[in-house]
Amino acid sequence: MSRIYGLVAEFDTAEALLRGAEAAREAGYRRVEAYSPFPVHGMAEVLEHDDPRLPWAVFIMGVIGCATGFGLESWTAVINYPFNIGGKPTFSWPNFIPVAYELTILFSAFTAGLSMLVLNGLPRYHHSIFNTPRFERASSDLFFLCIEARDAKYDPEETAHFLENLGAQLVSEVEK
Amino acid sequence: MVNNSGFPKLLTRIGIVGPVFAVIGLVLLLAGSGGGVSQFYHAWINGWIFWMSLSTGCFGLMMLGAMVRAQWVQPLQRFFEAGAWNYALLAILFVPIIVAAATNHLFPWAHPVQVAADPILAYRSHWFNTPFLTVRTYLMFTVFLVFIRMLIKVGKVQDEHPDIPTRLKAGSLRASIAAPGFLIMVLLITLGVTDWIMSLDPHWYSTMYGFLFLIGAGLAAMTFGVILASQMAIENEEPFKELVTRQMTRDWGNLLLMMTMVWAYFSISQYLIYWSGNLPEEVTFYIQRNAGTFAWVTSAIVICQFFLPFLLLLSSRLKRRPNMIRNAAILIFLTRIVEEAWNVVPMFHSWHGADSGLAVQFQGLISYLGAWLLIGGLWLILFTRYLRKGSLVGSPDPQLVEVLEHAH
Amino acid sequence: MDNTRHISSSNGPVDPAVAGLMEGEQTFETVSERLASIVLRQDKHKLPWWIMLGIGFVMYNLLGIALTKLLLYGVGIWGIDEPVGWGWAIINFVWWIGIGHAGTLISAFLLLMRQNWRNSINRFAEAMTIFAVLCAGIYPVFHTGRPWCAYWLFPYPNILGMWPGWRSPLLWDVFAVSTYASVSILFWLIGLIPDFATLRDRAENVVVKKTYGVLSLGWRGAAEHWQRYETASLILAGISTPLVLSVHSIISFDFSIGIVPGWHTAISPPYFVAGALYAGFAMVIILAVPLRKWYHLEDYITPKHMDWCAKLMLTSGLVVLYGYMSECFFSYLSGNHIEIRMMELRQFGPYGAAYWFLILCNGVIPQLLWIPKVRFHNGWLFFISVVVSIGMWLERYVIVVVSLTRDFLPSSWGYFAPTIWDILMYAGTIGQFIFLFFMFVRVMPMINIFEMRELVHKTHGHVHSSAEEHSAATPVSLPAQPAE
Repeated sequence: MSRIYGLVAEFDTAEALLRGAEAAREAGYRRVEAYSPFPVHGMAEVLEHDDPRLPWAVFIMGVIGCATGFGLESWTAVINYPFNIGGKPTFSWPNFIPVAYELTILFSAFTAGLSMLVLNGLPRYHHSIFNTPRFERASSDLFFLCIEARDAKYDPEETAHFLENLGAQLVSEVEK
Repeated sequence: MVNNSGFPKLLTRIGIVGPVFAVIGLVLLLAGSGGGVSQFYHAWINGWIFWMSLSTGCFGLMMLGAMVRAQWVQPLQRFFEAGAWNYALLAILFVPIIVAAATNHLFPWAHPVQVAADPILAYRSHWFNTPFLTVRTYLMFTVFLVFIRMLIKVGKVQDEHPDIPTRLKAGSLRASIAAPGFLIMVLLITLGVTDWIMSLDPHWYSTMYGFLFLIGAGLAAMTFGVILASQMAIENEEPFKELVTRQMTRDWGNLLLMMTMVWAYFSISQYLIYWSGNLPEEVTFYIQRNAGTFAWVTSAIVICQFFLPFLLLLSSRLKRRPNMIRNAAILIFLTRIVEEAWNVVPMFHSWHGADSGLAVQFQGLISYLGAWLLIGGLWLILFTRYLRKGSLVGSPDPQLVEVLEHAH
Repeated sequence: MDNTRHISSSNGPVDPAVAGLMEGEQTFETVSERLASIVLRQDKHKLPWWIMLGIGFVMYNLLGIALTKLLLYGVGIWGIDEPVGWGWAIINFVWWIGIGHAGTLISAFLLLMRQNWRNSINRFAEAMTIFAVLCAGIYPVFHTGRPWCAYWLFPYPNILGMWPGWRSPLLWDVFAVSTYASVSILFWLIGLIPDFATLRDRAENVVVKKTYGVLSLGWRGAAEHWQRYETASLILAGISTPLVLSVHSIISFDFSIGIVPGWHTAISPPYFVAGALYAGFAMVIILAVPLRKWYHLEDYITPKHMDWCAKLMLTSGLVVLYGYMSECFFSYLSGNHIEIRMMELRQFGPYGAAYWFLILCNGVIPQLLWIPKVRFHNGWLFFISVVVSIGMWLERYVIVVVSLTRDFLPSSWGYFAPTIWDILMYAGTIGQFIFLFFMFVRVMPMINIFEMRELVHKTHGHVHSSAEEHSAATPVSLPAQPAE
C-alpha cells in the first residue's frame, strides 16, 4: 500500500479533465490534483487552489523595497555624507523618487518570481507523478487527473472504477 | 412628450438638479462678483474650463471606445456622447471669455500696458490676440462638433440597424473616423489649453501641459460615467443591472487605476524636471502652489487622486463591488474639481508678483462656486435631455453579437 | 496547399478575440511538435540561419577589437571632445535600450489587456529586449573611461566613506537599467519554464534531455502550480509595465533634469518612452518578417499579428511626432530667445539635414501605415521598420549633438564627428545582437509553446463547446465553422 502514490486517469481534452476534477471533488475526494499542458481556465476554482500569500508577499516586499531605497538615500545624503550639489537641499526628496521607485519594482518582481517557485516546491529533482505511463505527454497534449493514495476515501478498486467511469482513456496505478 | 416611465430615477434627479444648480449658481456668481468685473471673469473661466475638460474627456473616451471596441465602454457610451455633444453649449458659453479678452481683462496679453512693458508678451502677441484666439477657438469647436455628430450618427447605425453586415460596416467606419479624430483632438486641445489656461500666466509654459490636461479630462469623464452607471446598477435600474457585471467593474477599476497612474506619472515628471531645473520662469508655477496653506491643497490632491485610489483599486476583491468602484470614482471626480481650480486660479495672481496663500488666491470663493454651478447646471440639463432621446446604453459590438448568435 | 487552410470568415464568424491568430490545421500536438522541433532538430536550421550567425559572429568580433583598443587607449579614440562629451556612446545606449522596450510592453502590457495576439510574438520580443539591453549596457560602462571601477556607481560602504550622488539622473540610470535587465531576464525565464518541460519530454538525446530537465526545474504542470504561475505572471506583468515607462523616463531625465537648452523640456519623459516603443516595434517587425519566412511560422505569426504590430508602431510614432511638433511650437511661442535659437540651430544649423531627415523617417514615411494594404505587406513593413530604426537613431543624434555643440559661451562652441572606433563599436553591438538572437533561436523555443496550446484550446473550445463528441485530438481547421 505504501508503495503506491495514487491512481492517475488520462484524458485527451481539457474539458474532460475539468469535468473529471469536478466529479472527483463532488464524490468527496480531497487529495486530487490535475496535470495539464497549459493552465485550464476554471481548474483553480474547482480544486480550490487559491494562494493569497503570493500577492501579499509581493505587496509587502514592494513597500520594503521603497522604504529601503528612500531610507538609504535619505540617510546617506542627509546624515552620513551631506554634500552640497548645485545648491540643492541635502534632503532633495523629489530626486530620491526614481531610485526608491526602481527598488520597489526590483524587490516586488523578484518576490513574485521566486515566491512562485518556492511555494510550488520547485526546483525539485523528481516527483512520483512522473512514473505515470505516457506522462511525458502531459507537457504536450494529454491531461491527467490524480487521486492520491493519501486520500481518506482512497480505495484501489473503487477509485479506479470511479475514474474509469469519468471517461478516462487510461487509468493506471502509479508507484512512489 | 417622451415616455418617462423607464427613465432611471438617478437621471431624473440630475435633470432636476441641473436647473437648481443653474439658478443658485447665477445668484452666487452675481453676489460673489461684487469685487468687480475681473472677479466675474476669473470665476467664469474657471467654471468653464472644468466643464470643458469633462466634455473633452467624454469626447476622447468616446473615440477611444470606437477604436478599441472594448466592452467596458458599452454602458458608458451614451453618457460620453451626451457629454461630448455639450461642446455646443460650451461654445456659446465661451462668449464672455472673448468679451473679457476684447475689453483688456483676464489675459495678461490682453492688457496693452502690460504688453508694452514686457518684451516676451510683445513677441507673443502675434499668436495671442483676441481676433486670432476667437477664430482658433471656434474653428476648434466646429471641427469637434463635426466629428461628434458623425460619430453619433454612425454609432446609431452600428447600434440599431437590423442588418448585421451593415452594423459591422458602420462599426469599422466609426473606428476609422475615430482614429484621425482622436489625433486631431489631441493636437487641437494642446493649442486650446495653451490659449485658455497657460496664457493666463504671462510667461509660464510647459510642453507637458496638453497631456496633463487630457489625462485629467479623461479621468473626470471616466469617473463621471462610472459613478452614474454603477449607481444605477446599485439602484437596480434596467439596462445597468445586467450590464454592470463583476468583469465590467473590474475593467473599470483597472482602467481607473491605469489612468490615475498615468496622471501621477505626467505630474511627477513635470514636477521633477521643473524642480531640478529651478529656472525662475518655470518653477514659479510650483512655488505659488506650494506656498503656505496652498501646500495642503497640493498634498491633498496627490493623496486623493493617486495614493488613495491606487490602494483602493489595487485589490481585485474591492474591484468586484460596484459600490467600491463608485466610491473610488467619486473620490477622484471630486479631486478633479479641486485640481482644475488648483491649476487655473493661481494663474490669475502670478503676474501680480505675489506668492500669496490660499486665502488671497481664492478671494471671492463664492463667485467661483457660482460660476461652476451655473455652467454645470446648464451642462447637466442638456446632458439629461440628450439621454432622454434614445436608449441609455450602447449595443454590444456587432462582431460579438454575430458570434453569439451563431453559437446558439 | 490544401483548401481547408484558409477557411474565410464567410463560412462563419469566430470570436473576434482569437480570430485569425492561428492558421492551418492545429492541434496541441502539431503546435508542440512544430515549435519544439525547431530547437530539438538541427536540420530545421538551414542556410539563412548559418549566414546570419556568421554575419553576427564576424561583427561581434569587431566589438572585441573595438573594446580592446578602447581599454588600451581610453575614450579619446572616440569622436568625443569638448564641448561634445556625449557622442555615439550615449546615442547608441539610448537607441539600444529603447529597442528593448517594445518587448517588455508586448509581454507585459498586452498580457494585462488580455490581448491574445501577443502570445506568438512575446517570447522572441522578450529575447530581443534582453539582448538589446545587453548591447546598451556596454556603452555607459565603457564611457566612464575606467570600466573596472564601474562598481563605484553602486552604493556600498567603502573606506572613503562616500556615497553616490542621489541627485544625479546618471545614477538613477544605474538603478533603472540594472533593475530593468534583471526583471526582464526573470520574466523571460519564468515564461520559459513550462516550455523547457515540453522540450525535456520531447528530447531524445540524453544530454539534451537532462539539460532541459534541469532548466525546467521539475515542472510537472500541476493545477496548483499553474494557479500560482498565472498569478505571478500577471503580477510581473503589472510590475513590468510601469517599469518600462520609468526606465525610458529616467533616461529622458539624463537630458531634461539639467538646464541645457533643447534638453530641458517637460514633455521629454512620455516623448522618450514613445520613441523607445517606436523603435522597438520596428525591431520586432524587422525580426518577425524573416523569422516567419525562414522557419515557416506563417501559421503562428499571421498577417493579423503583423497588422497589430504595425498599428502599435504607428500609434507610438504619432506620439513621437506630437513631441516634435510640441517642442517646435513651444520653443517658438515661448519668447525665450535661448530656446528659439536652439530650435533654429536644430532645424537650420550645421546639423539641419539630420533633423529634416529624421522628420522624414519618423514623421512622414511611416504615415503609409494608415493604408491597410501596407500593413499587410511584408516588404513594405520591413522597409518602413528599417526607416524608423534609422530615424530613431538620428533623433538621438540630433538631440545629443546639437545641444552640446553650442556651449553656454560662444568661445567654447564646437562640432562633433565620429571616428572609425565609434563606428566599429556600433557595428560590434549590432553583431552581438544578431549573434545572440540567432543562438537563442537555436536553443530556446522562439514562440511560447504552452500559450499556443492554450490558444488552440480557446479557439477550439469555443467552436466545439456544444459538440461534445468531438475530442480535442481531432484536428480542426482554424478559423473553423461554428457549431450548429
